Amino acid sequence: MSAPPRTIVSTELLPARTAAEIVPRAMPPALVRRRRLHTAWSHTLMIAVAMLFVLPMVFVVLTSLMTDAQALSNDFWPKPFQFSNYSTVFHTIPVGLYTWNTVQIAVLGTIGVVVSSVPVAYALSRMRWKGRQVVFVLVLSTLMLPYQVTVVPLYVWFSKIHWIPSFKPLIVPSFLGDAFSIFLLRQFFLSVPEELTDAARVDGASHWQIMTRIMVPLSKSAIAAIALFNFLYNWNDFFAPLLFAGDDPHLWTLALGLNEFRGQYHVEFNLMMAASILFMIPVVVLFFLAQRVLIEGVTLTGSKE
Amino acid sequence: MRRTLGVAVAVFALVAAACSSGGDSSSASAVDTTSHAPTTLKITGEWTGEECTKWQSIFPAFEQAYPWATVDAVCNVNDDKAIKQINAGNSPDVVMSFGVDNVGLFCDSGAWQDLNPFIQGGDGIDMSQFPEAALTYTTYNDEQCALPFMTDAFGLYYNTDLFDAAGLTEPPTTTDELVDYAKQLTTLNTDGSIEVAGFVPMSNYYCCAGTSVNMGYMFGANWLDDSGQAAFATDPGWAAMLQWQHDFIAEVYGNGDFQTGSDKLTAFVAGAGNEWNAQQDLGKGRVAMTIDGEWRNAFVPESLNYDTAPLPVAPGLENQYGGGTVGGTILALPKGSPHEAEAWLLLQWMATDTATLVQVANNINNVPTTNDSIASADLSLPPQFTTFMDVFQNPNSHWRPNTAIGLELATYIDAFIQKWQAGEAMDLQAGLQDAQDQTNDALAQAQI
Amino acid sequence: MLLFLSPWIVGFVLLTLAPMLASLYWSFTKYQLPGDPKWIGTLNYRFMFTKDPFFWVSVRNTIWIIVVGLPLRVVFGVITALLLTRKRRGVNLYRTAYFLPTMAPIVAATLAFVFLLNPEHGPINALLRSVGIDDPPLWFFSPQWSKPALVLLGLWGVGDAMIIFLAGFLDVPQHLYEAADIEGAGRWPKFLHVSLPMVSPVIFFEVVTGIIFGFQYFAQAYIVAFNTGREANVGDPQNSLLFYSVYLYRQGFQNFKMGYASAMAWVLLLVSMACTVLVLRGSKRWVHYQGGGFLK
Repeated sequence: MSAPPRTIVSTELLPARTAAEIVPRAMPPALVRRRRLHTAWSHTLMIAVAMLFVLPMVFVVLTSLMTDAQALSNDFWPKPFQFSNYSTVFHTIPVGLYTWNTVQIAVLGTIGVVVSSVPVAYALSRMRWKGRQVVFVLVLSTLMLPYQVTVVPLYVWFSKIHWIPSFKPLIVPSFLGDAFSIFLLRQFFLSVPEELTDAARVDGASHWQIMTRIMVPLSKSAIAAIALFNFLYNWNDFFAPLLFAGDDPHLWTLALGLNEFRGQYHVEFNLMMAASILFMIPVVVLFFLAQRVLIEGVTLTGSKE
Repeated sequence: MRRTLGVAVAVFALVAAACSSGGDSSSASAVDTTSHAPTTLKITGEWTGEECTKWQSIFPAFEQAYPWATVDAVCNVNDDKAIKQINAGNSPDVVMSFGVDNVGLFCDSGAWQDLNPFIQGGDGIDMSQFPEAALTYTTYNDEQCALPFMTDAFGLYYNTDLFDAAGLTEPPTTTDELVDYAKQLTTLNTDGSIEVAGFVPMSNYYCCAGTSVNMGYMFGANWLDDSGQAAFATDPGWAAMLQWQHDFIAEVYGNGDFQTGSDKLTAFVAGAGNEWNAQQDLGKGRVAMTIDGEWRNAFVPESLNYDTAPLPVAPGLENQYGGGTVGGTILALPKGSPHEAEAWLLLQWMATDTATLVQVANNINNVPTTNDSIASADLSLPPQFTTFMDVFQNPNSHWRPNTAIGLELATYIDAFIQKWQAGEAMDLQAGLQDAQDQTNDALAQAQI
Repeated sequence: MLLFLSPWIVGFVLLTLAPMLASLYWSFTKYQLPGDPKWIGTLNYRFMFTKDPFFWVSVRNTIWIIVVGLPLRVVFGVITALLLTRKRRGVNLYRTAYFLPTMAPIVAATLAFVFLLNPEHGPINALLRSVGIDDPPLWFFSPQWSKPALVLLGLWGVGDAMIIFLAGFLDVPQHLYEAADIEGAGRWPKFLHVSLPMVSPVIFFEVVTGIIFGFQYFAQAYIVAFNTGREANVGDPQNSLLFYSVYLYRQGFQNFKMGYASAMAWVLLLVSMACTVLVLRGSKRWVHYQGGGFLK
């Protein structure tokens, strides 16, 4: 029902595969000078591009520390630094409630995807049955399906069973498998050597035992990757919470709460930017903590069968 | 495998069917108020912030009159959210709405119930206690789908300090005077941007400054012709209104050049202060004259010296001066209201209890909506408020007509006005004709 | 086997198949909530194509954001990825910097741009004025500049595409470059004839998903309209941000015309399928697969 998470990965620690490019060797002075000039120039270029990415963020951070009046002026530098903006955000909107709501959806949704997608991926990679390829193509095609085609009836039906507004439409469907996660897990399972599972099979282990005792422990990294993808997707998602929980302010997630922030505070950009920063921090921290896992995920996305 | 699919489909179909059969029949018999089980009635309303708190403070009086009742009054629920709750099968008991424009739409779709069975039922009320104007915007095709609860009337606010400085004494009464005054009151910054705007005739400036409904009144433009068809191209009032707006922008802000003026105004509008506190532009002295609802009286800072007047009117319409647009907060009984009979008690109490109406009028400066409350000696409102009481009672005052397409009646003309005021549409008559055709298409579509 | 598959089967039937069939049926009805569906034949489709001005506005806006936004994103993504391919001091720092905006949640990033591009108070226009541009764009307050502003927002968050391209460039076997060196190829020919073909499947992946997501572009436009204009008007300013999905949301979840919204959804499904097929067909000419395709 929801769009698949976009592949998101961090940048650091990508294996340095370009080492071969640099071959230390004595060079004539003219060439050294040219090299140096070139290096200086390319660093300048890279810094310039980096500014394009970083400067907007710097403006946001600086504005979040300004007074109301200053935020509406053309000043760049806060004078004075009004750190109290951040505590003001906590007083003006129930940050704690929104965070708790977001955590519930993200955690339960992630658990749901993991427990439901692992067996499906197993059946699509380790069991032999007629129509397996057809089902796999169906899984892939639901990835391409625009959510608009299903969301209207789902909305109507969820409302008929009084699930709106609540978190149920956001959480329960994730226990019914997620195409993107199934796909990634299947790719990983296929890379596990057949001999490992065949041996267990000969010993009389059931598929369930093979899955839980062999495949899952071997696929910890892949499972962690899909868990993180789904967690981040749920954490940041806007459309589904807007549709299914947006009517009740007690059910707002951080994303909804932040969007509604202006509802009461029209152009108080300093507070709005402070709230935005507060929302960004946990995500950025998670990114840095989980880089390796995410890289694992992107490698899977790119892997070809 | 096929059997599993079949079972799953069947289970889902059953669940859906079981849940869709809700009762629609309304019982309009009187509620036994002496021995009633404790009931919590939920009412949602659009007010926020201070207005919300003041609104919530009226309900202890109801709970005292009906000791079994507890009122849960939820703020910041606009029609968009309220209709979602109704459609999601999660209706509150009573909906309080600002959506005068939605009466036709919600009545037609059944989202709001016809109140006539209740009005004539055991706990009924006498409808003659409401002024005629208040009934025009709450009915649709003989169905009374809402009752008025305080109303809004629109007029001109002007900063008297800025008037004094410019040597002006009386408010403008015609649209020509409005242009002259605005010219005298406008000042520019050194970089050419607007420092103080005399008047901002843009439809996107706050709630009401240059909207189709207010400017439409000023130019006597009719929304529908006698046959119920849109009249944007056939009624010359619309063309006159938009030509005036165009000339206003060019003359006052563009030194004769429309596009310059329009761009300056757009930047000015983008920097407007918070509409719902003293930072609003009128309060800050950023704009000298503006059109707003009567509630603005409650939001201006004490330091501001200002006065109010009815909307200026186009030359030739002087006999319309003194009236204006009226239409305000309304109360509706949503489809699926959990306690219909009790909800009606709350609804009719809010709509007719004089003390409550007076209290709200005094607290949040809205116009009360029953004959008794308008005449009440307990009203204590600022002198600038009188304008709006007069506008409400003026026989010329009205809102847009109610149709089955609701706010969509204004959608196409407003879209054209937005383009027009930004300088993106050049052919006025063709644009009005398009808006008229599109509106008529929508009206026809709704009849199917 | 069935037990293992059961979550997916139930999910597929209840969350995909049944809703698809329902919305197909509803697309031929007038279904104004809270009422019931009423069969009206193809009227929704006819009204959409011949009478509804906003339908075509939303189609044009969507095509605009795909045709302008997507190529720019791909080019910018390739350029930034190339910049990061070289092994040089501080490359990790650069990678982090380039990727930083992509980590920001959509709501936060969009609100940041609403502020940065505010015509009066935003730092971008202050910068533009200070370099002598007296009439800087009105960005989200102007129908001409609102879509370019969203494109800028998309470029700021190019990191997700960039990182996939980067992985692609780093995956190009070194011996191919060496072979090119032997033939005396310069940097540009090497890029054109070695790097680019090798990365073309990744670019192709980005183009296909970019088109699919382009048709579903919603959150940014909704958040901008909500935070600059008045709430009821999703698609503001002046419907310049009324993208297909935004209009579908307006019809389905603000006006609750479920029949009409369903019809729009089916048109979307057919068009986005057609586009994907066309791109897949065309891709054979420029996408270079090393030993077989994605789904061998």
